[in-house]
Amino acid sequence: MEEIIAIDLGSTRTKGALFRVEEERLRPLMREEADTHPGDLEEGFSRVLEALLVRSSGKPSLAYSSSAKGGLSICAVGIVPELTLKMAKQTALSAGGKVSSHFAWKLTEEDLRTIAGERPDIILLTGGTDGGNEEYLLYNASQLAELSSLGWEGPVLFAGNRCAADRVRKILDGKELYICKNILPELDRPEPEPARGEIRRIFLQRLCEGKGLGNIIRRTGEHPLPTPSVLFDFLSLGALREGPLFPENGGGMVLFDIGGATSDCYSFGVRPPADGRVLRGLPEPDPKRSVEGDLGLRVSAQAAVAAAEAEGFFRTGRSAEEADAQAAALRAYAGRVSRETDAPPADEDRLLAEICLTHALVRHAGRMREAATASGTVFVQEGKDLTGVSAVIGTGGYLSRCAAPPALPAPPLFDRTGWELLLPGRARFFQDTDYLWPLLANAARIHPGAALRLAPEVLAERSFYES
Amino acid sequence: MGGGGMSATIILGVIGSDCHAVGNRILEGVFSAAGFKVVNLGVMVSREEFADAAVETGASAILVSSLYGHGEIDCDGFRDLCIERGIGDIILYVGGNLVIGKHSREETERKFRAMGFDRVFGPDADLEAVTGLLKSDLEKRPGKG
Repeated sequence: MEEIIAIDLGSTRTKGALFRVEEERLRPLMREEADTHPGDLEEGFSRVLEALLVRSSGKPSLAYSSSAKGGLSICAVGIVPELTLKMAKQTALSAGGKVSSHFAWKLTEEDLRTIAGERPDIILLTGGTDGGNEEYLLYNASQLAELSSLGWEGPVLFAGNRCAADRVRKILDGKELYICKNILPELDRPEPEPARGEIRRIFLQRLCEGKGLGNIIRRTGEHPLPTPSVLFDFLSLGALREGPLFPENGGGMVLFDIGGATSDCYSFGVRPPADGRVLRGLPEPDPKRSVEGDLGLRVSAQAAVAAAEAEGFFRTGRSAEEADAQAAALRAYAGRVSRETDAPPADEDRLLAEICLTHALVRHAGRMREAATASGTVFVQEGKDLTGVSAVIGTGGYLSRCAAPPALPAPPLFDRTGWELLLPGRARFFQDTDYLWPLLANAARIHPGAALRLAPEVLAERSFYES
Repeated sequence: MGGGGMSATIILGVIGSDCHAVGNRILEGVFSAAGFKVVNLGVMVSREEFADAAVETGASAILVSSLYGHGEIDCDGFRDLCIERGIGDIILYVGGNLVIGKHSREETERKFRAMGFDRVFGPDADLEAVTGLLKSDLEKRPGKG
């Protein structure tokens, strides 16, 4: 009987499940959790693994991922903020990284000090289309060569203008340098995959050990990947994006994980833009992942409330006095839980989660405006159109367990400049009640088809409107 | 960077709230056939998008089209923006139905030259002649060996 053990090493909890493959479908046999000890990742891992092995009747295969010890931090360097830098950030996120800092144009001394202070796992150096700009790229490479004088240097992955690669190699001679294909070889043709693959390879070969995973690798003979990267791959599987897994999935899905420090948002299977729209900006990836470092329920609670106040969140549908009172109450709560990060969920968390969901979604989604032109009205679209999204999936500590999902923002909503935000209109909410999707995503590395067949079954539909 | 002559990269697009797509496609065909590497940004392109695209692609020239009569407003400050973006010496052409109403060709050309465009063309420009001018302008660029 074929069995799979999947484990997700989180920064606070290590979660695992034992699955059996039955008729090309996974069946969950057991779910296990333990605390993660930052100083010894192996401890929680072993507890979970051993408990699951007891229930196993054979020799299960193992797939595991980690987001412990800060996950995979990447510093993104590009030229134009809306072009190569945007691509660099998207590539880092799709590879399961978090963008520790990002820089456009030329790196300054101050920027270098920031990088040296943050000590990212990888510096992703990009810029220029193939045959295009070399000036900024070569300058930034020379600046990065100076990092060692600040007492630190880390691996640099070059994924920019291929015509500058040889010179970048010379400039960074003697440093730890990886070179792969340009993430934006032509302005309208993003190619994040080679850089994604290289980031993953660097993680496996070089970074795992330093993340406290060395003992686990030696013991199990298997290598982990960053958890978001595993989830991203899972959502990339064609059957999930296009297939009839969800009969109601007409226009794509959004998956959300709101944690203490960050909000993670993935959109996948989203319909291409409607015909006749004028599209501006880089083509949008699918799946697309965005991570908001200022939207969270604990460490980032105060930042989330501040973002909500800045965007006028509390004012919607309320008088000024009510809005101020509600904001003040939530500010006090956020202040407390940002210090007591292990505080159990309280009623206020629903509003906090609504803030995180709303603002993360608004930042993830594209926008559209109507333009009157000499030849009639034209719709101009920037970014990804989520209006057709039919399902929102909530996973992770809070969204997996909450009694009622946080409300989605109700369209039509407009940004400050009058653009309409392309948010999901009538989506249904599905809860990953046993927090199985990240584990299924791991199991899918071994048996994708069987994992996919189980994926919709572990979700429970919840009404957005019950309270 | 980008070089001159046959392999030079040029940026094409229709500026502002102008969605005349046909002429732009014809331009792409003509300039590609003439050996240029054409990056076509399509219709309804802002000044910033032109400049950003030129920076990333290392383009030698930006050719701006405007067909709907608002070219004067849309193109104002174009060269200044390029200077801000660090590509102040890029070759700038503009062409199309640039202004509405009765204005002499000389007056229109003077206006657009004052915005920093190197050459200004009307709707009836001979594209072969424009191609020739562009090649010779690229040859004359400072730093071109």
